[in-house]
Parts: sequence; structure tokens; C-alpha cells
Amino acid sequence: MHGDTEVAAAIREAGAAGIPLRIVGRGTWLNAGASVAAETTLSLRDDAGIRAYAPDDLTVTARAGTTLRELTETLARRDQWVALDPEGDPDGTLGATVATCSYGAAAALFGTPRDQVLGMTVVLGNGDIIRPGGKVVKNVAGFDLIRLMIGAWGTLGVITEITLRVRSRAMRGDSIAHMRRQMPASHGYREPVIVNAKISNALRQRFDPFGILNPGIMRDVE
Amino acid sequence: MTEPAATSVAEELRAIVGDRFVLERDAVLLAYQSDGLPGYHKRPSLAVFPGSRDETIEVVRLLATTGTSFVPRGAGTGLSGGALADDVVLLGLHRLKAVLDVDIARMRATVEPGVVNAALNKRLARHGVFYAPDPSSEAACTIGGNVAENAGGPHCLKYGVTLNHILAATVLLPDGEVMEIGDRDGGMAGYDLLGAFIGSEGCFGVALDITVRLTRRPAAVRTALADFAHVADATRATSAIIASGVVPAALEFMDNGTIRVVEESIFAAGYPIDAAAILLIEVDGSEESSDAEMEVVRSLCMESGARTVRVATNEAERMRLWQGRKKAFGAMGRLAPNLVVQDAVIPRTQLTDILAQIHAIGDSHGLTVCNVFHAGDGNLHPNISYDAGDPDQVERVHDAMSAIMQACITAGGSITGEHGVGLDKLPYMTKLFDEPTLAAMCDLRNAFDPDHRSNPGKVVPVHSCREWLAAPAARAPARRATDAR
Ligand SMILES: Cc1cc2nc3c(=O)[nH]c(=O)nc-3n(C[C@H](O)[C@H](O)[C@H](O)COP(=O)(O)OP(=O)(O)OC[C@H]3O[C@@H](n4cnc5c(N)ncnc54)[C@H](O)[C@@H]3O)c2cc1C
Repeated sequence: MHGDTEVAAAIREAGAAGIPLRIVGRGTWLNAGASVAAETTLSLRDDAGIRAYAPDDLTVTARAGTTLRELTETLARRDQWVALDPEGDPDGTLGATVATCSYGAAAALFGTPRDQVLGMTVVLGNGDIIRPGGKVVKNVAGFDLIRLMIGAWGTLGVITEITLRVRSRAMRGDSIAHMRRQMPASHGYREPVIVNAKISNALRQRFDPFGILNPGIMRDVE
Repeated sequence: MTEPAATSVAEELRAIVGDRFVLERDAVLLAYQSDGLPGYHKRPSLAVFPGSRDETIEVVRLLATTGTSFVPRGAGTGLSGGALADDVVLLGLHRLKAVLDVDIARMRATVEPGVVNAALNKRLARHGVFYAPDPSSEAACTIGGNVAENAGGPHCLKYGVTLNHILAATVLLPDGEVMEIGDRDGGMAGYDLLGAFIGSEGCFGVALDITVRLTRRPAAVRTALADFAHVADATRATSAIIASGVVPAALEFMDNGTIRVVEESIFAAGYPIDAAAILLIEVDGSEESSDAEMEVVRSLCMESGARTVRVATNEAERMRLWQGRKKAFGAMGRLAPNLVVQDAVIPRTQLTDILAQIHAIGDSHGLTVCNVFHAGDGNLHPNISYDAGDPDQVERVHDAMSAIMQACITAGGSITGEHGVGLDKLPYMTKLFDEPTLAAMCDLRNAFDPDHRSNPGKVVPVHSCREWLAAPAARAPARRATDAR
């Protein structure tokens, strides 16, 4: 899969035919979540690469299939980084990290992926391509579709592109030590379960009307 | 069909909250016709002020059964017309002001929505902790309003905005159902409904209580005033500081117009009135890191052309430097009867260019634009003082503001960094987002408020809501509270 229009076409086709899709990055963590009831895979592995990097604005935009390794190496050349350090393979993708809201030790000081993402491109279950957020570090224009998609495990849309907040590695630890937050664990992810069933199911119906995006990956608890 | 003894919604509301807390007369409703942004006046059909959580739930359930629309309102300091009720019920939440729990061991506090931001911090001070987001309106605005607007403030550069400091909330949905979202212990499960609710501008229901994250006070704080003869030098210094890796706790910009207004007011802070611009820069952390970072900041300012960099030597001096900044909008209020405070964001490297454009737009419309803003985030606040009684001025102000917003959009920015879309910025939403994105925003709202009864007509233009438009017949028209049942 390559590019928003191709992803959108694939999703529209699957929706029309009622074929469920398993959304996959590089497939380094396929046992995550509950098992997906889908034979067909939509892989974002080849939809990779950094699209825009503005070191002085401290923002970077990359396709979902970009590996964390590539992102880290690119930013390191300017002595910068993004606060994404989930457990697991450094060849895992940016898209999967954000879709699962996976975090590591950096979260105690900098927050989870939810605190890093500034903008996105997402293909919804009806094939619509949406672009919430932007490339600025502060933005409250419109309802927050970005937070909705982070940690939704691909069930509300397929994230194809992400703009992130970038940080300098020169930042002094002792100027931020007092900001350390209590985290439930040193690493983790957003649990793929359905809580608040009424609202959550209403969201699923609206964002995945054909029920084709990673069906089954979210456990029902209520 | 007239029923013999029709009970009006107003009467039923009185039965819930008491006579004193339902307002219907024009003279008393006048106070609720605007928020912090001048130029809009909308008359609520009535105003109701519940005194407890249970009363609030009862009120919203009553409004649900009668299909009545309502607008939640905190302190009414909002700057986008978000809390205006146009012939619908205004639901005031300022009486819900209990701090329910302060848990220092777990670094969290749970408050009712009407708790005033600064009141919470006053309460927390003796524990050496604080609630970080600090809108300049902190002395008046409520935590409920802060959550609804995803409010920012000068110190959000380092500490993050409201979104980054809320752990959980209890939400009263417009249909009267009560729902817990988020996790007080910081866990994450299911869709991030809390993240979606923060910044929803009253359109997803009412926050009944809010659990906020607390932050330890830094051991040391240093505040400096850097004085520049040229605006471009100040913006260059800003970029240099951001690029250096130092993340100041705050990095605020004020131009000459703002400096003069502040210095002529009772909030005079000792700013140099001949400066083209000043930066107010604060660093915090440990004693050592603060000194080291302030040294970096000082030398970057001097290299960028600052005339002087003065570091406050005691707390009184520091507070005075801040007072001028925090009261700048208030001081501008002296210039003319009305003040429009604008809010937009641009990538930080575009600051120099955009300020020149804003200046030129002001000139060509015969208006003076004063700039005071959060430079570190690229979050602009161009402000214009004017006389709303003069139609020609009103039109010029409107045209100038549209031109400024368009310039920010063209520069790759956003139409609001912290004040929200509300009513005022609706026309810009279609310039910033395409139709599918706006339709998805409507879908998100519809999951919480399918009938659009909570703060109707705000944030996303109604014509962008496909589903909403597709089935108008399926919906009963929203009723007004004055209609008899
Ligand atoms: C002088 C001045 C300086 C300011 N400085 C800043 C600043 O630095 N940063 C910043 O971000 N803002 C600033 N503001 C804007 C404003 O203070 C903030 O938006 C604030 O968060 C609004 O709080 P409020 O209680 O006054 O809300 P209101 O104005 O009463 O309401 C704002 C919105 O919140 C909704 N709402 C209120 N309470 C609830 C609730 N309990 N549940 C659901 N929805 C609710 C309303 O429906 C409305 O849409 C400033 C305003 C002024 C006048």
C-alpha cells in the first residue's frame, strides 16, 4: 500500500465487498491485542519515509510505515529526538506506535504518544481521507480527532501520516526532573478494550460503518 | 393542542434549583449576553444555576426530556463566543466550586467544574505543588472552562496545555447519562474519550468533576526581561532560544504598542517604553540548571541584538515583570471601549515575517494592532482596540482580523491555539479543514450529542455535518425553555 489515495481505494473496495482487513505496520507485534477476524492484510510497511522535517520549528512529518529507527537516526543528525521509546523492535513503525499508544520510559517526563502528535492523515472506514491537526505545536481548532485515533488500534481509521513534536537532546535533565509524572508502568500501551460502550460503539458505527477495520482486536468488557 | 395547566420548563427548573437560581428577566440576563469577546450579544432564553452535582444532573435530565438545548458556562471569560446562548438555556456551573480531593501522594486533585484556576493553585501552594496550565485569566476562569477550551497559558511552553494535565473526568452527557472517562491512576484503556472531550467547547456535555495532575514546584525560577530596538531582533532571539534546546518555562513577546499601554496603566511593570519589543523569559528547574539556562538565554538575546537583559533579583521584581504581561489585555481595555483579542498559531520560524504582515494589515486598515503573545509556541495574540459604536471601525476591524487569520493559515498555521473556535471562528474552519475532516468532527460530536443540544451551532459549521443534514425530518426541532410542555 502506498499513499493516501491507494489506501483509501483499498478500504473503499473492502467496505463495498464486506471484506474485513487486518491493518499492519511491519508486523513485528502481530500478537498484540485480541485476535483479528480478518484474512486480508492491509500493510503500511511500504508507505514509509520522512515527508517534512523542520528542525528549527521542532516538528517532523513522516508516513506511518516509517520505522522508529529511521526517525531516530534522522533526528539525531540534528541532535534532536521524538519522545517515543516503546518496548520492542526499533524496526516497529511509527504508525503502529501511535495507533496503539505504546510508550516507554520517556513517558514519565514527556508523556505518551498522545502528548507528541500534532497532526495526522487518516483514512476512515468509509474511505474518507481526513487531516485533523496541523504542523504547529499548539492548536485547538475543531474537535480532537487526533486523540481519538491515538490508541484506537486501527479500528476507527488507518493512520497514514503523522506530524510530531520534536525535542532537542541538549535539554538539561535537571530542569525538568520536577515534572516527572506517576505512570502506572514503565512501559505499556492503551488497552484495546471497549469501555464506555455506548459512546465507543457509536464511534465505531460512524468511523467504521462496514465493520472492516481490525474487527475483533478490541475486547468487549461491558 | 393546549393543555389546561401547562408547566413551563422554567417552573420545573425552579423546583429543582430554587427560585433565585433561575433568571428570566431581560435586565438580569444582560450580564450573560457576552463572554470575554466583545461584539457578540446573544440573549439566553433563561439562565439556570444549579448548586450541586445532583441538581445539575436533574436539570440536564429535564432539558433532555423536553428536548431543550443548553449552553454550559463557567466564568464566561472565553474569547471566542463559546459560552453564548442564543435563545436557548444557559447552564451556569460556577456554583459547583468544591475541591473534592487533594491527593499529594498520588499527585492529583479532583475538583468540581466551577473551581477557579487560581483558587485551586492557592489551595495547593502549601504542598509545594501546582496545577500547571495558567491562562492569563487564571484569577477568574474555571477548570471546567479550561477543560472545555483545552486552555493554554504562558507556562504551557514547557509544561504543556490542559490536555497534558487532566487524568479523568465525570461527564454528564446531554441525554442525562453520567459517564466516567479517563483514569485517575493514569492508566489508559479503550478509546481516548477524555482526550476527545478536552477542547470540545461544551458540545459533548458537561464536566461534573475533573481530576487534574499536579506538578512539583521547581526549586528555582529565573525571570528576565530582554529589551530590543527592533522587532525582528526579538523574534530572532526567540528562534535562537528554541533552537538551542533550552525549553524556557515561558517565553512571552510584547510589542511597543502593548508596552506603552501597560506602562500607562496601573499595572506598570517597569518595561522600557522606547523598546520596539520585549521578551519576558522564564527558566526553572534546579538552581544550577536555571543559572546555566539563563546564561544561555542571556547570551542568545545579546547576540540577537538585545539592548539589555535584566534578570529579576527578587520575587517582588519577578512578580512585577509578570503582572504587566498578565494584565496586558486589561490595560488595553483603557484605549478604547472595545478590545478584540485574536488568537492564531504559526510555525515559530515564521514569526518575523508574520509580525511584519500583521503590521502592514493594521496600517492598510487604519488600525493599530498590539501584539502580546506566547512567542515560544508561535501562539500569536494580535489585539485591536476599537469603538463598537462606530460601524466603519467595526467593519475595518473585522476585515483586518480576517486578513490576519488568512495570513496565518497561509503561513502553515492554525486559527486558534487556545481560545477555541466557538462562534467567532466558525467561518475560518472551512478555510483550515476540508469537508471530510469537518464531517468526521461532526461524527465525533454526534457520538456524544446526537441531537446537537449541548452548545448548538458552535465549533463546526452546521453545513459541514452530512449526517445531521441528511435526516432533518428525523429530529424534533429543539425546543426553547419558554415553550410550554
Ligand atoms: C484577560 C483574559 C486572558 C485570557 N488568557 C488566556 C490564556 O492565556 N490562555 C487561554 O487558553 N485562554 C485565555 N483566555 C480565555 C479564557 O479565559 C479561557 O478560554 C478559559 O478556559 C475559559 O474559562 P471560563 O470558565 O471562563 O469558560 P467560559 O467562557 O464560561 O466557557 C468557555 C467554553 O467552555 C464551555 N464550558 C464551561 N464550563 C464547562 C463545563 N463544566 N463542562 C463543559 N463545558 C463547559 C462553555 O460552553 C464554552 O464553550 C483569556 C481570557 C481573558 C478574558
